[in-house]
Amino acid sequence: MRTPTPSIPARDHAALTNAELVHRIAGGDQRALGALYDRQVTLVHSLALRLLGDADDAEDVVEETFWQVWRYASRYDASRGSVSTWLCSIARSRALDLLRAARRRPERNATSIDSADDTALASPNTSPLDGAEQNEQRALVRSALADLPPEQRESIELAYFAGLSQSEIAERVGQPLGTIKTRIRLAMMKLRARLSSLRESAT
Amino acid sequence: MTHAEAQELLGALSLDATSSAEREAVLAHVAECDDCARELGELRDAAHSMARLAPEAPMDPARQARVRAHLLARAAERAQPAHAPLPGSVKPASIAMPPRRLTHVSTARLVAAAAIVLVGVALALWAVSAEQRASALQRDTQRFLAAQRSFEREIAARDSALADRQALLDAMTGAGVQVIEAGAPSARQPSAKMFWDQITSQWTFVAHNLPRAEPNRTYQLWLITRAQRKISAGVFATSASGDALVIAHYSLPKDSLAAIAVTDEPSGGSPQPTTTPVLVGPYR
Repeated sequence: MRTPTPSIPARDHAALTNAELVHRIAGGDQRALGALYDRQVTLVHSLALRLLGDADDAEDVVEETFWQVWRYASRYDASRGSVSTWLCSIARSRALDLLRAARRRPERNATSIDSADDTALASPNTSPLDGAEQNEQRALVRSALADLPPEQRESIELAYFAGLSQSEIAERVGQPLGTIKTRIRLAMMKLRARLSSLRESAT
Repeated sequence: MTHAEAQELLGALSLDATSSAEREAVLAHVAECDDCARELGELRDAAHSMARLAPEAPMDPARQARVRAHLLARAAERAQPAHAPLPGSVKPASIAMPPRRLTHVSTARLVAAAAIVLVGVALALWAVSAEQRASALQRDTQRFLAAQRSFEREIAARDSALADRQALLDAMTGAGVQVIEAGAPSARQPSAKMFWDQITSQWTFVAHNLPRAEPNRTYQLWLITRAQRKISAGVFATSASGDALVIAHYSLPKDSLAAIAVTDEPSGGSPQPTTTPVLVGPYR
């Protein structure tokens, strides 16, 4: 049961943080939903397209992600992660559902981490719309991942982009499950620590 | 699951790469352990930072605008459930012929040539017309497919709304649902009921008579464990008549809940309660 709150002028939404926009969305503010969409649609679409490799499927994931935001904004809990983490979590979950359904249908070839190519999936009209902040975030993550041993990086990328479980990764790379569990645990600890220190040094 | 065992699996959980049994066990521990809950939040941020590795791919502007418009239309309909617009009707595209001008016909010698020219023009017009008809047909097909897609989405949205209503009914009447009543200390004041579905871990909170939150303030719902851990179940606003409904999903062991509470917090909510609760409901 959503209860409308008074709308504020559109220009004011630009000054709100993502978390504040989500709070307004929880109060039924449709302009806030539009503002969050404008701000985050490229991130969500890029992830969906990377996971699925199909523009129609990615479009469905984008709409469904922001629809879930509209319906469940009151569930957002800032202590459990940032708004962009929440959006990526919804989008990835939806995309992986589609990917798993596609895997069950042999006539369709789902994009996997093996076949996904960084340049092939890039849109021809890629533009710096999201500005320097997005580029900076991207550079931070690339830098943090570059510090990981290749086998650790491979494990977490297979988990994140192909949606594989630890057991499936073990099977895919031909290593014992225990080895994969160790790689993932170490990789995530290092990634968290490295991102934290990079962000601190960047501010 | 011990703290050390949970710690081993937090990274995999942040990537949703555990088995479902591991997931349940770790989440049950996390519900009781502040350190693990905080660490899991940080690991989730780190995991989803990998989304930035996806090549930046802005949506095609037409798609982006279409999804935005459709999303906001759905939101408007959901906020004010009135009549739904019918899917757009498909109009046949008009086939406009460009004006043709014949010029300079002055002598009999040109009659035969003119006849040839006229045949040529007729053939050319026929060819143009056929091409335009084909083009119009293609446009009609595209419009039809767009209308069909829109129609399918309307059906999906209605199915989703119906499923939501059924889910709400189930969440309040299911076999595993516990009811926690919450009231304010003073008489005939705000009241609330929490329906805790212990099977699905869904929490459905219904409140009445809550005054509207002050500007830049919001209500926040809390689950308080017997270990005095305060877990946010989300922020919410009230309707003009003081009603509110909050739905949250959170896995909590059956015997660990002590109470639910509602506090008044700054916009966006607080990590921990900062004011005296306006509503408290002890559990059993």
